Amino acid sequence: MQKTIEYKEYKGYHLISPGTTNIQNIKENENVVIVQDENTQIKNLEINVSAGATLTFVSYYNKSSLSDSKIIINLEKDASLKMYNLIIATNDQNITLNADVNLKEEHANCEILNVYLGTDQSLIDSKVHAYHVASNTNSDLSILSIGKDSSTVNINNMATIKQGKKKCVVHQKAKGLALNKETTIKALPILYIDEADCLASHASAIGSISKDDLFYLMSRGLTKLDASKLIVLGFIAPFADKIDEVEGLKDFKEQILNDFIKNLK
Amino acid sequence: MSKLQIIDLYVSVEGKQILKGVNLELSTGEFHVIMGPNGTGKSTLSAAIMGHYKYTVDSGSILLDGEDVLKMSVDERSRKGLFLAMQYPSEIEGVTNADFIKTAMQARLAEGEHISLFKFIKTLDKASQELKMKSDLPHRYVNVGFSGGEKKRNEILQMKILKPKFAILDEIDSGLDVDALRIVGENVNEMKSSEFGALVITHYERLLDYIKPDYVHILMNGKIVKSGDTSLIEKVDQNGYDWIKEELGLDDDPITVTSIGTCAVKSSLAKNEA
Repeated sequence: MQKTIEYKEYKGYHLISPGTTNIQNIKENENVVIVQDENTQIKNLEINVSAGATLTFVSYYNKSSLSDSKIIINLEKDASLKMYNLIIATNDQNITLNADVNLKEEHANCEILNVYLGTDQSLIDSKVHAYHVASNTNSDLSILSIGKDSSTVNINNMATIKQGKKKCVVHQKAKGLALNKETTIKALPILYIDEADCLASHASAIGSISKDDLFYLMSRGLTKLDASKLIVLGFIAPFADKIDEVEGLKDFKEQILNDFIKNLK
Repeated sequence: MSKLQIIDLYVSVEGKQILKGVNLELSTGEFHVIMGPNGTGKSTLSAAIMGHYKYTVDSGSILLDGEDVLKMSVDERSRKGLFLAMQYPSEIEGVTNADFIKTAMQARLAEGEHISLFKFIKTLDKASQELKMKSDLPHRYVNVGFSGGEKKRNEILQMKILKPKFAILDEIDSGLDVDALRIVGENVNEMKSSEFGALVITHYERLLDYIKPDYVHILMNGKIVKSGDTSLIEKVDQNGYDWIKEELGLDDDPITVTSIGTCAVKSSLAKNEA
């Protein structure tokens, strides 16, 4: 059963009302931007993006402890999804991001770029799955994760290409930056592919800040803290660049990046 | 006027002693050149002055205007007036040149003071124009995708903006074409003043067509074995370093032979032959 959701206007963007289950439809050829901040988070959400429509979905999870939340996005013919999520977990928060993107018809495509920052004893569990159930569909998933203190970040990137669904393109990337030895970052890239005629790649890299990079910046007078901060901000620069591409989100970007920097200290 | 003194410096890297008692004294207003064959410790000296984590100072001291440099952290050395133009500068993804240089300038100000954006842009523009660098430079990530020549110019750009008392230029001429060499050389030369001195490490005479040294030192076997004026450069250029070895009765560093195991292929071949 579909339920129509009341949109609230927020600086020109749609905000979704908090609730338990929301199913929404984006009409054909519509171009919708949804911004979700810590005041507007919802537990379960399903969005159908009709043919030729574009959905840009930007969300920021900070204060709330999300668990068992699920986002499902269905993309029809030529529909397009751009999803950018920032999660900051502190104290003993347990945040789960569980997102399924169903590329249901030809030429549907999605680009997902998420940034996670785990601090203290927090846990971030990320499960993002792109289901290619039609030929000629594209998915591109990148996760940039930073771990600090005794936090744990689990990155599960998944993609499925069904048999007979030809010429699909799947790219997955997970990068982790561990700021100390006690933090744990796990990356698990999974590709379930049942079709030979496809293009698929996955890459994972987890490491700490390069000592040579730190030396270089410090040799110009930057303190270790300032140099590390610059390197970490550089690490998430692709995310900041993507938010810049969404018109009118300058203040929002500043706010979330300031929160990010505050939590790095 | 400032003074940088290196006194009886012994430095090791990964357990191997490279510098074995280097003595050197530089004043602002002076350009010193260090030449020497490969592997004699020229880069070790520059890294040790700046405090690179891989190099251990076994004994000796480095003083900047009487202050113990070895007790300072890397960033403190920089803020006190030391600068190392590196042979292989780091590439830092996501950090723009403008953000990096602005933060470095800001680091030199007292707490509560802030660099004006106008002043910063003006300073950066002027220095990049003098080094004939491309206008997109501020927006590019630090050294990422830079050509060899652009990286070296970027080092000199930072030096011009940060205005150190002493710069150590570690093979700043490698990777530069003739025009870039001239631009870099001229820019370094123009900085010479009672507030600025340099230690230039090089293999080639051609950089010295532009940077006019006051003193030339030859570093061999971890020590400065000969010092003199520019006539030393010509002599090295024409005759190499062997004459110095002969003159001073120096031997090459002894080579330690270490077995790294048995060659599996060789032993299996021997078995087959048997």
